[in-house]
Amino acid sequence: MAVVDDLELSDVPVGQQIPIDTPPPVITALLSGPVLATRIFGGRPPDSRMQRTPWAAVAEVGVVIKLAVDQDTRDAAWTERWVRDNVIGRIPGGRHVPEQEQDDHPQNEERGRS
Amino acid sequence: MKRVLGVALGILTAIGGFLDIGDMVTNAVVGSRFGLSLAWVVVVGVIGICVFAQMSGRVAAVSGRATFELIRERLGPRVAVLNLGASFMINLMTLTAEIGGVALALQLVSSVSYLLWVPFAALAVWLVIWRVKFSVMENVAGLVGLCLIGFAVALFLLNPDWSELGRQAVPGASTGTEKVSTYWFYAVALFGAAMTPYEVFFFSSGAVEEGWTVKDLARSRANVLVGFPLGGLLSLAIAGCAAVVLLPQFISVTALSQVMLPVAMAGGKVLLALIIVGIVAATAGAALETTLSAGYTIAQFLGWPWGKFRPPAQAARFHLLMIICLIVGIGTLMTGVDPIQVTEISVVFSAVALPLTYLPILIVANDPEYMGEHVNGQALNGTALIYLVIILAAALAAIPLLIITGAGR
Repeated sequence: MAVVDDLELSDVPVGQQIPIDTPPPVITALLSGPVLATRIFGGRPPDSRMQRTPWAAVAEVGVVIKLAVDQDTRDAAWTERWVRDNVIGRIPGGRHVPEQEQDDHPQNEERGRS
Repeated sequence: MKRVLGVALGILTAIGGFLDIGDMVTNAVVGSRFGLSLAWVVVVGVIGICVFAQMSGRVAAVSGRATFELIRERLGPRVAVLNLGASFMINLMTLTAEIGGVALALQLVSSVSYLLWVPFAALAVWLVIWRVKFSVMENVAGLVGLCLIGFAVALFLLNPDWSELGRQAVPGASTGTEKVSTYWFYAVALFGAAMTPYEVFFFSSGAVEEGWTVKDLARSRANVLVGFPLGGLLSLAIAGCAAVVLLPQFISVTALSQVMLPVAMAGGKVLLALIIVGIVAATAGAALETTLSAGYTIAQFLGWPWGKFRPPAQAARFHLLMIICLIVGIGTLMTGVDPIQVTEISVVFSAVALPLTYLPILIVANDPEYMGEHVNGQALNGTALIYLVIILAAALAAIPLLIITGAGR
């Protein structure tokens, strides 16, 4: 579906003493967004430019992260949906399903952090 | 029969890589000017592409991911974007040239100007990418492209002096009336043509398209060991035909019709017709390979869903990108630029981009996280390292030679 560009962690107060038995921060969401230029040259886009995929949607973590929900509902997949609905879907034959030759093609997943 | 078709991916990759319009003309040019004295470059190139295609095929079968996906993940976006930029430009130039090549071959058959064939050729390429199943595409393009065996048949029919050809093929034989720098320019060009990066990306993406798994490692090896040497042999046959017919007469090759002259002389109309069918299939196969490669590399780098195994609606950006590439190709060709010159230049730039492509593949193929127990053996690593040195040398020499020799004049 997309490349994981960043992780959103639960709140960790900065510049304060943390009590010893505070639980460690947990990942609350995966973030994807326009990071190509910032990865190459430096800095990062503001949070409002990143699309969130909540951690609750994750089914499995491996070399790729598999999601438990339909990717159509994810904000991170919006460009794909847009091109499909407005360009490719309108060309005859765009939704034609070629006969599947094997069943083990990767589906519905996010690739790990690059 | 299934076994024979099982190696179709390797054959198509090799045909698209070694026997596209630019390579056919380059091989004929080399044969007409240098005889077979550059044959050793083809051999070196074939071994090199076998080594790296085998690695990338294994990576795709074991990890289930195509090479470019892993390059970004393992080496980071900076390295990957350099690689991507170079590869994409080469793909775009080559696909433009291949569409032109299909049009040129159709012009030979029909005497209709190739400019009029260009939109039809591009449309046909697009329809195959849009609708035709990957396996059908590779089987048809690969097997029909094998009609180019007509060149080998022609070489035998011409009854050449084999000892003379053998003498020319020995490395170190004199370069005749040609300058040494021109000799090495064509050596680099032939090497770049044999090891063009898109071959590896297409092969590994094709492996994922076909759904190869660890059980298919032997099949991957068979594809490599059958396809690429066959491509190399056919390249040598084209050069050989030119060496036998065109070299003694000092006929220079500037157009597709001169490439086919030896075949017409050897076998008459029937063999010529076979060759033309082969040329159309091979250039169409190359056009498909480069267009798909352009789509594969960008989609894999950016994490888009990709593949012909998906309906276009589920790989929308992938297909849109390829449509845009084809439109750019048509536009470029309609300006009247010579498609053959475009490939000859792009082959030299391939040589420059080689180190960026092959070093990451070597690194990924050695990574136990993706490959588990199937990492490279010592012998393979040793050979690959030697080739990296050769590749680096070719990459550094390519542009200076291009300038010094004025593109091989």
